[in-house]
Amino acid sequence: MKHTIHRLALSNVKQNKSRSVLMVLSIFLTTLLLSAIAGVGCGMVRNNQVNAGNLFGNYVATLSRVREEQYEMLKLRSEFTSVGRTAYVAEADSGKAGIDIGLSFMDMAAAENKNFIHTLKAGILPKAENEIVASPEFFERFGLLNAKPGDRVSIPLRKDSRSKFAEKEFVVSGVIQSSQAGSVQKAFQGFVSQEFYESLYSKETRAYEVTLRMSDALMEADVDYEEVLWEAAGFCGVEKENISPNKQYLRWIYDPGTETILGCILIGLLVIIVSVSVIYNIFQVGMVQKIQEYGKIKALGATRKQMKQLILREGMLLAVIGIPLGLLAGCGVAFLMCRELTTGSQAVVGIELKHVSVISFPLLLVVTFSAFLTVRLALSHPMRVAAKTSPVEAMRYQENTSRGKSMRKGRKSISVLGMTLSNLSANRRRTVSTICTMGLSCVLFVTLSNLAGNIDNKFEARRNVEYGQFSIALDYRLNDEAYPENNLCQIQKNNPLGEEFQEKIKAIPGVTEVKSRKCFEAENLSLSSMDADGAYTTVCVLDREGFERYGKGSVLGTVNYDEVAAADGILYGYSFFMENYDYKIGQRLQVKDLTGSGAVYEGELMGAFGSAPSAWVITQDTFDKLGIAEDVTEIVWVDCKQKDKDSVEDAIWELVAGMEHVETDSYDRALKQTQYGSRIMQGAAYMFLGLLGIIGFFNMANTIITGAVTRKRELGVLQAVGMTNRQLNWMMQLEGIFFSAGTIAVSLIVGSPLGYTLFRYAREMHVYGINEYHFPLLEIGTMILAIVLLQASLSFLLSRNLRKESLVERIAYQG
Amino acid sequence: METILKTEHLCKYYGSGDNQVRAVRDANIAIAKGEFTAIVGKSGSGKSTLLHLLGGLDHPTSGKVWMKDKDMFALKEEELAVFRRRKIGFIFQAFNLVSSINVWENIVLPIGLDGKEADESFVRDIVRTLGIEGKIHNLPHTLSGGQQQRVAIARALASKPDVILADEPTGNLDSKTSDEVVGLLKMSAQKYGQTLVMITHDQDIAQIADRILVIEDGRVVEQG
Repeated sequence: MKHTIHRLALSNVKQNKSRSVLMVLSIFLTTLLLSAIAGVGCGMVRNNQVNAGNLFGNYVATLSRVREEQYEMLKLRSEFTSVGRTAYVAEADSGKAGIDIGLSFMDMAAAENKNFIHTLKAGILPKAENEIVASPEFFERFGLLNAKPGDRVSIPLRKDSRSKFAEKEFVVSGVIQSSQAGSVQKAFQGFVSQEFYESLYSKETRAYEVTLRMSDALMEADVDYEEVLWEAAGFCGVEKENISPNKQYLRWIYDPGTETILGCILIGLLVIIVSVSVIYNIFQVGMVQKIQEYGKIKALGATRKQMKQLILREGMLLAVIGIPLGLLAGCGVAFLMCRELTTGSQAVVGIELKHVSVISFPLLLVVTFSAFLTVRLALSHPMRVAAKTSPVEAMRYQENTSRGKSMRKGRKSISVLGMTLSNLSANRRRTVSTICTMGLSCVLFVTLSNLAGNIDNKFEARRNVEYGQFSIALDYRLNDEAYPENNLCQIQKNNPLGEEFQEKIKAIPGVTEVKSRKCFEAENLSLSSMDADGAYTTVCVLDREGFERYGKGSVLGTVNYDEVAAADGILYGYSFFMENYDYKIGQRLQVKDLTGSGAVYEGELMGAFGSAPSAWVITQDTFDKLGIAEDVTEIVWVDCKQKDKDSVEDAIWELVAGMEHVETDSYDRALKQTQYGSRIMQGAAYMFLGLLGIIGFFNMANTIITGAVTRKRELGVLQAVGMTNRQLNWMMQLEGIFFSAGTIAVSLIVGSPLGYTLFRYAREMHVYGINEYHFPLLEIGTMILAIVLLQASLSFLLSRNLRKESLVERIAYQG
Repeated sequence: METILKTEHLCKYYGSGDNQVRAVRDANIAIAKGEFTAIVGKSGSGKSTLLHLLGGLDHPTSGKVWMKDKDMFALKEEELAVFRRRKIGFIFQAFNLVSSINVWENIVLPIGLDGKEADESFVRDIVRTLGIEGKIHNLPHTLSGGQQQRVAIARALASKPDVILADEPTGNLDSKTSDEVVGLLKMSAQKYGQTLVMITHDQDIAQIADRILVIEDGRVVEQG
């Protein structure tokens, strides 16, 4: 009997060709989507883990001011591996003001930790006392052009500011890659050997910056790495304030990609829900023909279990074709998408990233299982129906055509439109379920296109360069005790972006406007001393225009300039994080200026911007009252006419070439970068939605095809009593148009509010490029056009196909 | 009497060579206006094929069918469909009502397809004549076989065609209902002045007709 059931299932599959093809295609696309989602998710998680080191260095923390004996103890700790050290050795005489040249020592472990080893394009790290490694630009400073290992170079250097420069001859042991900054570089670093370092510094005076990794056992175990770090390093005598964890690296390497995985699971579930409803509908729509046959089989002695088996086998026979093909195609799509993502990130970060494999066999097994489960779930109801229906009932089974309904009010006369509507209403359940399942995929499209279609590249680019064409900003740190000269408060004591600089910018031919903004380093005295992370902060000074600009979007409390100025209040920069840091509107804050006078400002926390340029914001009026004498300009924007862009850019580059702690950016570059980023996001989103839409369309195709096949005789009779071919075609089109219109209506009525809600949420969360809402007309227009075109061609082909059989054959058709 | 339907050397062959089936062979018949003609023949004799050819549902291998002075197969497909709904009423063995519309809508369907409004009093009269006035809002599947065939007769009559072609209209009915239906068919054809061509394999039923044509192996002959 098992073979009989199998043979029956096979013949059913073969007989109902169009339904089988549509089901295979639906299963194929479902599996493709599921495996592509899994592949991309897996690729992203792996990429984060594999490339975290390339992006942020392969170490968990930097320990500064580490003495020789502490370094030795650290090396012995089982918690740590790859303990590498770097030390400042000497300053070289650059012969030019504003150019800093330093010599450092870095051992092999540190070189590996910091990815320095990968930048070595020729030779080896220095070993002998007189060996040196540096970039070609470094050597050029001392007259050595096209440096290569073995070359000799003489460098004037001194150990500290109390000593005088003395020439020292080095042998080039290796050359590192040129910095991307190239000709505008202001600081150069050469690396010398441990022997040379030790020759200058006695054991007691040596101080290292140590980078280290956690042991593999600890990395795999679920431990609080910061706790381990404090404890083990503390045991070696390293003070807590000298330990700075490599937070970005740790976040990437430790987080197994929970958010990514959750996101993928959610999208995968969505795909499964849509696919179950579509495959169910495709199968169910043809049940009317089949159920009578199932009745006959049951009458011949098949048990309920065998009936279920029959339906299940029909589905599984199609699944075993669709699923492997879907897996293959899905892996291909995932591979292409991940490659594009990695290449894109590479272009953005400027570091070569490793390409990761998107294929994970356990994941593919999960996808295969999910795809089979999708088919199984879709078949549950048809299986129950076939098992339950008694042979007698089965012979009488009339799908849902007016079961229980014997009358129809009708109209006095009937037209093609009337015929169409009567057919759709007679098969109400089929009509509604088709519109709903097809609508569901389109609802997703409309919802997500509200997001994808609203990515505003210009807005995103303006986050980087707020005004004009170019920005020149200070490149600083906060509370860097190892290199205090890099701290904002120190830089601003002799601000390179001061008035003199701004005058020079204004004098550049073609410059039409120069704007600037103030921001200073401060210490938040309201925080406990334990919470050192948040204590050192920046306070940005905004004028009325700035308040208006940042006052849009998700604000808390008041962001009215006059109110805040009158109360000398302070605003928090990021409303979303306010709760995380336990700040409350109305609380009083004490902030100490670190730039000049050390004045303490006390004010009320009056509100929060959605996303401001810094953690804290005060008004220009309040700033004027603080009496900070130093020029605390933090950023300068330059605008010019379009035609002068190149010349102005050159002039700015020239001006900042010799300046320290200054970084420049251009609006064009920012725009190009955001366009690239959003193109990938939009492309992925639309591809996903497009495939989902096609699955939905198969459902409509099936309903229309089944509708035509089951009514072949009826349509033949209609033609016999005088329906012309044109009228038949029009009737098929009308049916399709009704499905399309219903689908579009459902998708817009449900999708638009959902999409708008999603948009608002995304804006609250400061999702990339989300700014002002506009109805995604282009996207939805494309969707409508695609639906209408697909439906029209399907209806046309179908009515033409029907006419291939003669009228007599159609009238004689027995279903 | 005026000839309304005429065939000239009408042939319909299926297949070729040894497998060729000659369903209709050189049929030359003429049917007068208002005449009730029965075509009788055994199963497979070609009677349904002949009726399909007369109604323009099937194309002949050779020969012509004239309705009044119109060569039916000289019409283009679209024109033939329009011609059919205006000039010919069909009654099928399997009733062939459209399941999703009610009885009234089924009856006025050919008129609606022609883009015209039904002559309501005329249709109501037909419905009354056929005794289905209480069923006009019913859906076809709620009717008995006899009732469904009456609806099919009403549908054939409603557009006031020149000829009504009935293909074994009693084939799916019991004998009592068959007699009723044929009686009604003849009566209404007479009442509305229509020409009726009916196919049947039942000699008794054929006897009601004004004229009987016999078809045997595709050849049509007049019955004695």
